[in-house]
Amino acid sequence: MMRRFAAVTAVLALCSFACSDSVDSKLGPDAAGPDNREFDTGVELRVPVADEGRTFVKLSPPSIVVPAGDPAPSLDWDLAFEGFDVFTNGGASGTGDAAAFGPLDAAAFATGDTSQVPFLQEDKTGGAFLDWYAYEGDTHALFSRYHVYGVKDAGRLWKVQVLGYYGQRDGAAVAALYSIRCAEIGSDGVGPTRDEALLDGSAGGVAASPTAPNDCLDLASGARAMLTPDAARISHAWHLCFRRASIAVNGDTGGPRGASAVDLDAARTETLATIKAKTAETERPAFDAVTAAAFDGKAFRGDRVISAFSDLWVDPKSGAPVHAAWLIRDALGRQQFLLGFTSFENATAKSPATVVVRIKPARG
Amino acid sequence: MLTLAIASSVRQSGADSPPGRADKIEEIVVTGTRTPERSQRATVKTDVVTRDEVERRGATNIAEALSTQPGVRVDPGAYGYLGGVGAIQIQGFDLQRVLILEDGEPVVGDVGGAIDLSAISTADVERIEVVTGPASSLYGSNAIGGVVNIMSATPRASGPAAGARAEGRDRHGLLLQGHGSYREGKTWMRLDTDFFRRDGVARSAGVPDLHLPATSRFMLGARGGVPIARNIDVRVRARWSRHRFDGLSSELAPGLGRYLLDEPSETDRLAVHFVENIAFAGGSSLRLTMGRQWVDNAASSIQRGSSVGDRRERRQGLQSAEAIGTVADGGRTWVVGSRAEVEHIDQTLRTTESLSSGLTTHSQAELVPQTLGRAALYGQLQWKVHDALTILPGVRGETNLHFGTSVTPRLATSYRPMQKIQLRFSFGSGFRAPSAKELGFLFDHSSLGYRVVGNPDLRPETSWGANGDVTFQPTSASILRGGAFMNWVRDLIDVDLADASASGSVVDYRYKNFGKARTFGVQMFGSIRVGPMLHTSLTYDYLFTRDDVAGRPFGGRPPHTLTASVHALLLGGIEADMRWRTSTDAFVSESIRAPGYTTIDLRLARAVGARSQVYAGVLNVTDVHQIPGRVGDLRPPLGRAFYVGFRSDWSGEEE
Repeated sequence: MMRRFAAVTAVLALCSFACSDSVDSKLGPDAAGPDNREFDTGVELRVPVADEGRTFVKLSPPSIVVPAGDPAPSLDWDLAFEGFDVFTNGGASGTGDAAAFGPLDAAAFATGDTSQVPFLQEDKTGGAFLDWYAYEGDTHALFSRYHVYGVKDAGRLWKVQVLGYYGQRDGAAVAALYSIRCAEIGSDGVGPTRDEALLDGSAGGVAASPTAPNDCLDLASGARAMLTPDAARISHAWHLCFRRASIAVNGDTGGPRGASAVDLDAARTETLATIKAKTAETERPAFDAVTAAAFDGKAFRGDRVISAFSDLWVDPKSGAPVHAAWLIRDALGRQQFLLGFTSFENATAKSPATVVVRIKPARG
Repeated sequence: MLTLAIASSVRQSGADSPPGRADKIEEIVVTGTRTPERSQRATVKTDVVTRDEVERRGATNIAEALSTQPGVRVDPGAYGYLGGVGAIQIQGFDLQRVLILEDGEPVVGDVGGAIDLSAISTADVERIEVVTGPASSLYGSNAIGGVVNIMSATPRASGPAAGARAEGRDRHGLLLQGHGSYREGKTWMRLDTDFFRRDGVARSAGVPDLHLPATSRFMLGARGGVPIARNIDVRVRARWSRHRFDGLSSELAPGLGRYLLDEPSETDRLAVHFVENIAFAGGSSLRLTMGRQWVDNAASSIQRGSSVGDRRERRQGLQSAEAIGTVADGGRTWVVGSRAEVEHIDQTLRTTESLSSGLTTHSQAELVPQTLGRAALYGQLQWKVHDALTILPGVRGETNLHFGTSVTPRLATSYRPMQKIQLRFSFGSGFRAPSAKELGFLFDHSSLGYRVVGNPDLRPETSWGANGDVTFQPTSASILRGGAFMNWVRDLIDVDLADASASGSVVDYRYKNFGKARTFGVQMFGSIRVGPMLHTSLTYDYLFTRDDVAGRPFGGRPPHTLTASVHALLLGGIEADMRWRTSTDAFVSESIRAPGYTTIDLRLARAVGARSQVYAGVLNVTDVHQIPGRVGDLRPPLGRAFYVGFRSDWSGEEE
């Protein structure tokens, strides 16, 4: 059960680490030198992406579309491009049944073999805590990266470090029982460090309904509340909510409180082996060393919509699309397609300008 | 297998035969045509593994007995932690595309589609018949790649008889087999028992996980026959067995340490079979059978020290009734039969979780209770046109409550243009009915975003297959044979990952008929016997498979296999046996190939007195074995294994 739960929550991580144990592999396979040999089948579509606004794409037949009226409830589109984001028409992005999985080895596009895909991921909300863990595919275990996060709310600031995803209960190791350490950073320095254990993100377990409640924590008071996703979305009673492998921040799409957060160690790249060697004890000094000065100039933000593509489809070093394939289900939930991004043309700092993508129906 | 049937084992050997005895009577086979034929002259090629040969191969179960059988491949590592499941491949087909019979009755209770041949003891086995190629015209569903018929022994000696076998093996392996029987005229009864156990095999250093689980097996069998009239006799067979795996794995919970998961799996099987034979004048007969099987399996994965985990319970049953009439009419033998079956299966998954509210257990039906019914009529004519030519047309029609009627014809011929040469050819159809799992499965991983669900609208898989061979027997001590086969299959059933339907955040993957495939193969066989001292044989098998939908081979099918065997009588009355098998590397996926490998088995045996034998052997001398975790590794899961044993048979005067 523990494994299964970990697998549930590790969709993004699966994308990131399917082919390598390097944390840098979140860039996707072979990000450096695509030759696009695998993308010589399917239909090529050139998607213009402006610096502002969204461009909508229909997968069958591959085409640019302009949904009539409000795009949000429309099923006329499957993918939306906005800057360097790609969204699917499902989950937090739309009312459709679209979902995606990737990056896959580029060869999957050529062979059409998607048997390695365990399941597809709908768009969801997430933010600063998006990459709080590293996923080990062999064991399906989630390892904390021990990043230090800042959480800001109404002029108050806390630093937070996730210590673990597993807790012991009823004699068993149970997934999604979080432990964290946190401390408030005030104008007069850093307050006492507080450990919070057994924060219940199990959300009712494997067979629970999507509306099962999970633990939400108020960093100021230490109060916990078991809230359903809908209740959390309108509640001011928390800063961080723990639901399966996701940690939500109560701001922007996450909730109404206006809290925001930042990952101080977002730029850090480590191998999985390095991460696995860390413990709550070895990372305590790094946590203790964080003072208010560490947050100077950092961009705090609330949660946003995250898709299977987020932070994974663009190689930050080259600025080109990663050489990989993606599996996408259309908004009607009827058909799956394989995508391979071959290039950006005339990209700017704000958008890829023109995305050249190959699209073809998938076959299992 | 012809290997030994000709070279060394042209004999009729029962469990009551004194060890090492070799009566020079050619094997009689029945599975290929449902009529008794001499194995070397059978109209449909039927290979035989005799009981003596089973023991010479160092086998304790049917999977081991067939693991080096030419034309057959047994993949004992196909099912993950279970490790011991012996999934058999014939002509490139496996799982439910090979029919497994016990005394002519289909065996139910598959694991992932495969009948676990390692769970079937050799204790009461007289011989194993292997028919390659489609045989649905006689046996109905699943007989696409071939048929394996495990035949039990009947006492041949009058009066009381008994036998025992004790064997020690590596990894604290222990085999104990025994039987006792009594025969007076046509009245007889026999009791068999079998016990086997073996430790698990560690996965790798540093973790407690087992690559192969500890295994234990226990079997009790009782059979008897009695004449109830001058031309009518009745036979009853009952067999109970329990097969248990004790797997162990561990999970690392970062921050907490490593947790152990106990993974026991226990299967109880009970089969009861009733047969009435009525003999008529002129060699005609009527055989009436009724059978019932129950198979219960429970498999768990529980965190040690807690009750958190899963328990999967599966119940399966089969009831059958069959009437087979054989009419001898000069050079023509008619076989007409009818059969009715009702199969039941259900599967429940019970999950215990630790939630904030405490331990919570919930159950779900993974397999909606299914009752499958089918009835069949079949007929076959074995027409001996003249001494050299036999023509054997047959057809079977089967009506299934779920998908309607399947008609499967077959035409086989055997021609002997001269005494030393035989040509055989058969062309026939096979089919596989959708399994209960494929019709009603519900593998609910909604929490992971997907489910695998059954499809009640499935059609049967259908195939056509052609088999032919030429046998040249220059002397009574030597034989050469070359043969080939080809199969075309369509409507293969699998989960179509490319055609899922979504409901909210959950995707449903369904079983569908969408596969198309071909298999082609060649077999070259030669055997020679040099006096009573040396029998040797060599077989080369070539296999080509093609999944025409995916445009690639089937995974896990080595294209080239070479099998050699030597049976020698050494000084001091020592019998020596060697079996050598080399398989080339095989396609697994576009990026993975299974490595080729060679296994060598050796065995020495010596008679002790007139009725006993001591023996010792080593399986897999080269210690080639799987690398745990390597995907698609076809090498044996067990490495080298030594064994030493003793067997003794005592009987009255043979009839």
